[in-house]
Amino acid sequence: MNYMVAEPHVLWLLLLAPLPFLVSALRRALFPSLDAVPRDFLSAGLAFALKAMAALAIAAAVIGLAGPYRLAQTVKLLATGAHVVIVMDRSLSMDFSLNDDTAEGNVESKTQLAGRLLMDFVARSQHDQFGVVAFSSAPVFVLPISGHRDAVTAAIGAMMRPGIEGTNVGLGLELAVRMIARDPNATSPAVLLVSDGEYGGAGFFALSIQDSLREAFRRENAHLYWLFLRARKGNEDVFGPPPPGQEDTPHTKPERHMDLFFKSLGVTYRIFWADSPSAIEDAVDEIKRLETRPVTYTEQIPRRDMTRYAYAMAAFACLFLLMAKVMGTDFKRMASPQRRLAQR
Amino acid sequence: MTADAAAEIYYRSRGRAESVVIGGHRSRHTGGQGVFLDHVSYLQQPDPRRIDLRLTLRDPFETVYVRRYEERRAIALYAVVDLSRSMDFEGTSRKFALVHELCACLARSARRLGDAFGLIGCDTQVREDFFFPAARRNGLELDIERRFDGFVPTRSSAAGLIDAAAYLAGRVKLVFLVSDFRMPEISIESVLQSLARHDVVPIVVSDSAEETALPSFGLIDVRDLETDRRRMVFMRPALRRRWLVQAAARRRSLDRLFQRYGRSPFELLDRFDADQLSRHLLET
Repeated sequence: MNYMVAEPHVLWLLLLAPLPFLVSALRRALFPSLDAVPRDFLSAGLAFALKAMAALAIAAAVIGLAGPYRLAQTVKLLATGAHVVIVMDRSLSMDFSLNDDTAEGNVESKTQLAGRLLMDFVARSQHDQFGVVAFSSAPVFVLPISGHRDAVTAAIGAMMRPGIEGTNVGLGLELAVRMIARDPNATSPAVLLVSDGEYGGAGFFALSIQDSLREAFRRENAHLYWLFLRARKGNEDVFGPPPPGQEDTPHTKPERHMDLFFKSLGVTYRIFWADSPSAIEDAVDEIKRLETRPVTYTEQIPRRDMTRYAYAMAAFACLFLLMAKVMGTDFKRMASPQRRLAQR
Repeated sequence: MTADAAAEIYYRSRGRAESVVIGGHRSRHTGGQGVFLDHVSYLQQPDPRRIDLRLTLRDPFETVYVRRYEERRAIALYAVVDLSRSMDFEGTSRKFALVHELCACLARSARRLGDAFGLIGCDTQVREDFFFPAARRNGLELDIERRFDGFVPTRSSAAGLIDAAAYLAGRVKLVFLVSDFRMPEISIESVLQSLARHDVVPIVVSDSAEETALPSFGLIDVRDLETDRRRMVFMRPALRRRWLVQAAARRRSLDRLFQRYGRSPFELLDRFDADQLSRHLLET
């Protein structure tokens, strides 16, 4: 804990603090001889306590005058949460609505929908940290893993732009895993893939990427969540095996093969099929529920004024002194000169 | 001065007065006046004016008898006064004012009975400026009053009391030892020993504010008048009881000590009452 004062020269007045030990503010009760006063442990203790209180009152008031504050500092805190790297699909298909229509009027595009929900996710998960990667045909490094909410929401906000042709999930994931590997603080990593799959199945992961991804995911023990943004069409089973007679290749059923590949990674993996806005919310909630690994994060505590505490302490000590003053008494004195005459 | 300005006390010396001055006390001296004492032969006291004719004629051996009377002689009174700072205590009344009153009264009474009165003030030593040798002169009383007026005790001990005996050499005197006796009992005893050949009347100047009328609750920042030391006392009924017991014990042991040296002490408490002092002096 680092404390400083705004006006150090006032601290010279601290030299006054031992004053109560030298002089007494109580009424002096003159007495012929102290030998007649019985020794009393309680009185001695109280006398010392009062002097200490008076010294404390002076010291606290002086410190209050000097304007103490605590320096701004960063503290490391432990919470449950995750270091989530959001891997955002920026392919052209994300500009359409869930039903693959053009997003017009008050119909949200998949990007807008995902962005809105992710912002909500970011806002609700207090202790999670986020990194952002965007990809279409090539990955884009948007934001390293950080706890700054403003930066994260700004990065997500930056996604609200028209998409670019091409979907290269493999490279996007690779960049995300590398981001995790580079960050020594990312102890509970998770990758949140926001994608609508590969329309047309233009190209699946190259084998070299597959191997490196598998190895990297295992090494980092990163959880993987896939927020699959697509409306269900009839009874089409995107992830199931194709009907007999049809080819079962990454080209004909890319999502099924991506799913199979992710399952083969050997890390915690969940897919959330978000076919409606409410389903996406459920998926975000589910991710929040699942990510309960311990996470350390640093928090910035701004400079804090401590003056009021110093004054409160001085006031508290003064209250005791006031009580002592009220309790203060004396040996019986002559009331007035008249009485003095009358007694003669 | 107050209404009691004319108050006087009556006292009686214990032994026989030895001085040559005619006064009011029984003495060893015999003469032609006073209370009848005995008959002696004319050869022993050849005073033809006091021949007892009836006894002389009745005596078969024809001795001439002379009546002898006990003469009344004067004594000397001394007040040995403690002038230490503790006498400046002000409670129900100012202790020093009581002493002033007492000494003025003693001077007055002594002069009326034809006795000499002297005063020795002591603090750390005998104060020469507060020393009045015993005298019968007019105006002594006023001089003493003037000396007391405006006097403030400043020294912090009454050690000089022991030296007062040197000023009291000679015939037996009636000594009023005026102090609050707030000192170790051993030094009180040595003072009494030094004054042992005199008739000592201890006068304990006390105040109910320091003895019995203590506050029962509160904080008192007690300051010793002599040493200037401070001690805070949290006064409460239990401590008050303890204090009173302690004060009573001190008084008892003081009484015992004084009685071993002759007289029980007179307590000058809160106000000076001449009649009370007279009664005390005649009783003890």
